[in-house]
Amino acid sequence: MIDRILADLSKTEGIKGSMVVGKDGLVIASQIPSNLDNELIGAMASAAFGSAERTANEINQGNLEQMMVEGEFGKTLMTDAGEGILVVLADSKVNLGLIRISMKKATEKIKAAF
Amino acid sequence: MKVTVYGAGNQNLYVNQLKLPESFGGTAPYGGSRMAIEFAKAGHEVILAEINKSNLNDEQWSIVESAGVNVVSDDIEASKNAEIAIFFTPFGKKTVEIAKKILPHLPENAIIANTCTVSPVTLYAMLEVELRTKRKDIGITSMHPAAVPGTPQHGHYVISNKATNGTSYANDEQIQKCVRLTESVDKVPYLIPADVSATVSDMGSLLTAVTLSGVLDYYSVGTKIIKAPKKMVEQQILMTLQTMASLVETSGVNGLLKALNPELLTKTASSMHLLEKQKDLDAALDILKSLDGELKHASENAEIKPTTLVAAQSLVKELETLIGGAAANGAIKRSTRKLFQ
Repeated sequence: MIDRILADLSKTEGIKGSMVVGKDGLVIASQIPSNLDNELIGAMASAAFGSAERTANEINQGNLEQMMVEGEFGKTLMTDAGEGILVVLADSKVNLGLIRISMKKATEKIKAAF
Repeated sequence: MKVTVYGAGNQNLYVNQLKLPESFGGTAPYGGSRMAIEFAKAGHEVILAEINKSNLNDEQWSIVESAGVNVVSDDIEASKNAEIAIFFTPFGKKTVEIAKKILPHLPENAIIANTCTVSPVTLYAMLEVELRTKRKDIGITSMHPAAVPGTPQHGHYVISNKATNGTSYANDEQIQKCVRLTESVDKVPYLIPADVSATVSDMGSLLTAVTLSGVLDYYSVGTKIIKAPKKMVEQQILMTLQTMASLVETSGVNGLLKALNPELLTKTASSMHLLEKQKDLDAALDILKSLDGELKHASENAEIKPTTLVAAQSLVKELETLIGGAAANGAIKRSTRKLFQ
C-alpha cells in the first residue's frame, strides 16, 4: 500500500526518490536510489526531523509541518505523516509548490495506511 | 492450547558431545523434542516442526510420536494453528528466517517465543516492519528453558515481559498464556524484562552470576565496612561495569585484559580484602595470579582501541532533549541491537 503511494509520488516532476520512515527511523517503505544507504538515511531523517521538531517547539513556533534540507545538488523535504515521516528527495531546481501539493496528498494516504 | 515447537534439538550434540545423560542426567530426546513431549503429555495439541530427521534416531522419534506429538517438516503448515510458536531452532539467522516465513500464516494473536537461539529483542527488531504494519496482533516473548529440556535442571521457563523502558513486545494476555503453558507442565514461570532475560537465562548467566556476586561484595564492603555513602559506592560500580563493558565492545576480552593490567589489579584488589570471608575476591585473585599463558600472550599483543566511556542513561536523556523522544528511541534501539546481535 505505502509502496504504491511512493510509486505515485515519484511521477511528480523533479522527485528522485522517496521513503516513509517511522519517527524512530525504521524504514517502512523506500524507493530511493540504490546507491544510498536506506537504513542510514532513515535514521538520519528521524534524527533531523526530531531535532527540527524539538527546535520549533523550543522557540514557540508550534508543531513542525515540514522540513527542508537544501544541498548544492538537491533538496530533501520531510513531512509529518502520523506515525511516520515522509521523506522526498528532489532535484535542486524544482517546482517546490507542485512537490508540496503531491506530498500533502501522499501524507494523508500514508496516515490512513498505518 | 495449540503449540508448535520448531526444532527437535540435535541429539548427537546432547548425547555424544555434551554427554548429558552422564553429566546432567535425564534421557534423550533432549531439547525441543522433549519440550514438545512434555506439552503433549500435559494435554496440549502439539506439532513439532523439524526438517532434519537425522537429529533424532528412530527410537527417539518413536518416543516423540507415542507422546502424541504430530511431527511435520513443513514450517508454514506447522504455523497455521499455532497459538504459541516456540523456536528451538539453530542460532541466529536461521531462526529469524523461519520467523519471517511463518509470520503471515500465524493465527490472530499468536505468540512467537524464542528459546536460547536469539534474544526476543533481536527477533522483534528483525521482524519490526511486518509487526508494526501488518501483524500488530502477534506477540514476541520467550519460553526460554534456561537449561537443556530433558535434564533434571529444567524446572522453569524464562518468559520475557515488558522491557525495562516499558516497551511491550507482547500483550498481557499473550504473556499469561505462556505462564499457563509453563504451569501446565509443572514448571516455574519466571517473568523477566525482555531486555534482561538473555542475561539471566543464556550461557552468559555464568558471567552474570559472578559479576553480581562481585557487585554485592563491593557494595557490602563499601557501605558496611568503609561506610562510604551508598551513592558513591553505586557510582563506582557504574564506572567499573561501564568501563569493562565499553572496553569489551571496542577491544574484545584481550584488549580489556591489557587495559586492566591484571598484575596491578591483583595488588590493588588485594587491599580491598577487608572481611574475613570474601570468597569471590579470593577466587578472583587466584584466577588473576595464575592467568593462562595463551591468554596472557594474546592480551600483550592486543590493541586497546579508542573507547568512549559514558554514563549510558545520561546519554539517553541528552539525546531525548536534542532530537526528541521518538528519534532518540530509534537511535537507542539501533544501538541496543548491538548488545544482542
